[in-house]
Amino acid sequence: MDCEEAKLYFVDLIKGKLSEEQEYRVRAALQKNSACQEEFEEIQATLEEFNELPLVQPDPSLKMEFYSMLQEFQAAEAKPSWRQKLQGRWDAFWNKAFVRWGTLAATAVLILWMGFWGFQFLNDSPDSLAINTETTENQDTQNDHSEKPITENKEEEKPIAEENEVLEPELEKEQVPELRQTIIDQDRTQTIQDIENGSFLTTQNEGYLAITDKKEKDLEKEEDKTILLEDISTNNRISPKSKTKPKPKKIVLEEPRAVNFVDLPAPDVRLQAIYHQSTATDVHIETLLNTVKNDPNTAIRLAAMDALNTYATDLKVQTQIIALLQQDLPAVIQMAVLDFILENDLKDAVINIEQFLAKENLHQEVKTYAEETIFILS
Amino acid sequence: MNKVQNCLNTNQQLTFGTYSPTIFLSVQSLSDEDIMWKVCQGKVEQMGLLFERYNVRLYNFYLRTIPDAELCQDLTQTVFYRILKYKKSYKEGSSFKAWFYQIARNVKIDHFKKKKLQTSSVEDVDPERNLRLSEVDMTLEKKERAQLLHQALNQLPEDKKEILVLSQLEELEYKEIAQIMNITENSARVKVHRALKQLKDIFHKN
Repeated sequence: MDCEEAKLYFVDLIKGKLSEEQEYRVRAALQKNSACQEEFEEIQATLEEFNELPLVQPDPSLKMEFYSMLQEFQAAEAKPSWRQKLQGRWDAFWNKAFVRWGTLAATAVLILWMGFWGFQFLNDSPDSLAINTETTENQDTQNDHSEKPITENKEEEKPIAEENEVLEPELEKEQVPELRQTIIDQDRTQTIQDIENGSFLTTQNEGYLAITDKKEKDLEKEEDKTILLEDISTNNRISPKSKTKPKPKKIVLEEPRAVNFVDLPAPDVRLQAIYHQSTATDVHIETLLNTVKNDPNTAIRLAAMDALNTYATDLKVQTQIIALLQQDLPAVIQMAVLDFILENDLKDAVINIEQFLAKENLHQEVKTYAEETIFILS
Repeated sequence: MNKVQNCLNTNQQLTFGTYSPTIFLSVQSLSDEDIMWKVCQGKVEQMGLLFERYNVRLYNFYLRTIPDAELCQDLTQTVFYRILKYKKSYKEGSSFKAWFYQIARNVKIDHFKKKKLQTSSVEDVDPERNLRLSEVDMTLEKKERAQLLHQALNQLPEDKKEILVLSQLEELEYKEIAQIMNITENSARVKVHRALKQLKDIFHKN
């Protein structure tokens, strides 16, 4: 180590901060060079002088000022922040009763307003209008059925969209539901009057009836072609399916042959029709059987079954009811049929019940019911 | 590797002070770093301890470099205020002394920038009055030498004055000086030597 390098360690040597090896090397450099040694001694003296400089005490006011400042600082830190202040103000505001109730009321009004406009929007939508106008159109068409031949109807069939285009300008939006309800009420009143007058099964009501052909032979041949008249059920008319459903054919016949209560507009009307006919006619029995088979309402089917019980002694009725076992009917109806067989002690029906039991997907309860019936009858 | 973190990202340690084992030790045994860490965590009343430890040394640090006692007192006060204000910037595990004198140095620089003053403008202040040598129990000869040394010190450039005071009066390590002055450790060693040599030259010349 030369003197220049050793000089950098003079302060550390004076303060005793060098390791033994470093100290040895620095001292060796000093011994080799007297000028270096001299400079070291001068620096040592200066440092001693420097370190002897007295530490001056600051004015006592410094301490007082500091503690005063510290106190202020602590007070400032203890003060709530702007966020806490804001939160406090909000809490105070929100805790006022009128604010809460006011907000609640405003929310309620908003919800009602949205509901109202939502309802308006849905009513104003093209689909909704189309359905309404279509219903009106159907009603109008039904009223004219008795006067127009089927062929004409066929020719006059137009796409629903076209009809809507024609109707839309003529009908006010508000008038559509009102008009629809008026037509339904008229239909219902007319039908009930017809039933009471006993003219329900006449050709006057062919718009609502399924009617056979002129000759009985032809009827038997073309039984499958029995055509239901226009579906005037309100639900069916409103449903979108009615848009694509072709309008049924209309046939003018000389004699009424069968009635399908299913086509009557409402369940209550169908129910009245079932119980109103007190005389046992083939047409009525057939109608009741049709109702048992086809009515979408199970309660109506059961009512029809109940009505058929009054003709239980009729062999034809018995045969027809037993034959119902071969059809896919709801479990309740199947049980009603089994009840009918049991109540009328139709022992010959055991074979039919056994065949019925062979069916797949038979409800377990019905199965038990059928087995019990066989057991009792046997 | 020493993980350095400051108050801002160590919220989980905010409650540490309450259950710290150091609470059972005497206040005197607490290191500067421990106390500052508590201040950092919100126990600002602990700042009093640091004030008691450092106010005289800080005042003298200024007094050695600025020959204006009143200004030195104001700056000392400002340093403690800044420490409180920016306590969150203290990083755990770092040297308190280095951080403290870095703030002290910045306070001085900011002051002279703000006032647009040069230290030379206050050189005329009487060092005897400044050092209050009359209040010190020293021989007359020593008082004279102290006065001469003080004058010599004031003739040094600002950075040399600072580095000498930090290394000799405050007894900071070269590493800490390097951190305060934003230089390398070796550079700090060389600067201290050069400053001391210059002081010796001026002092002996006088």
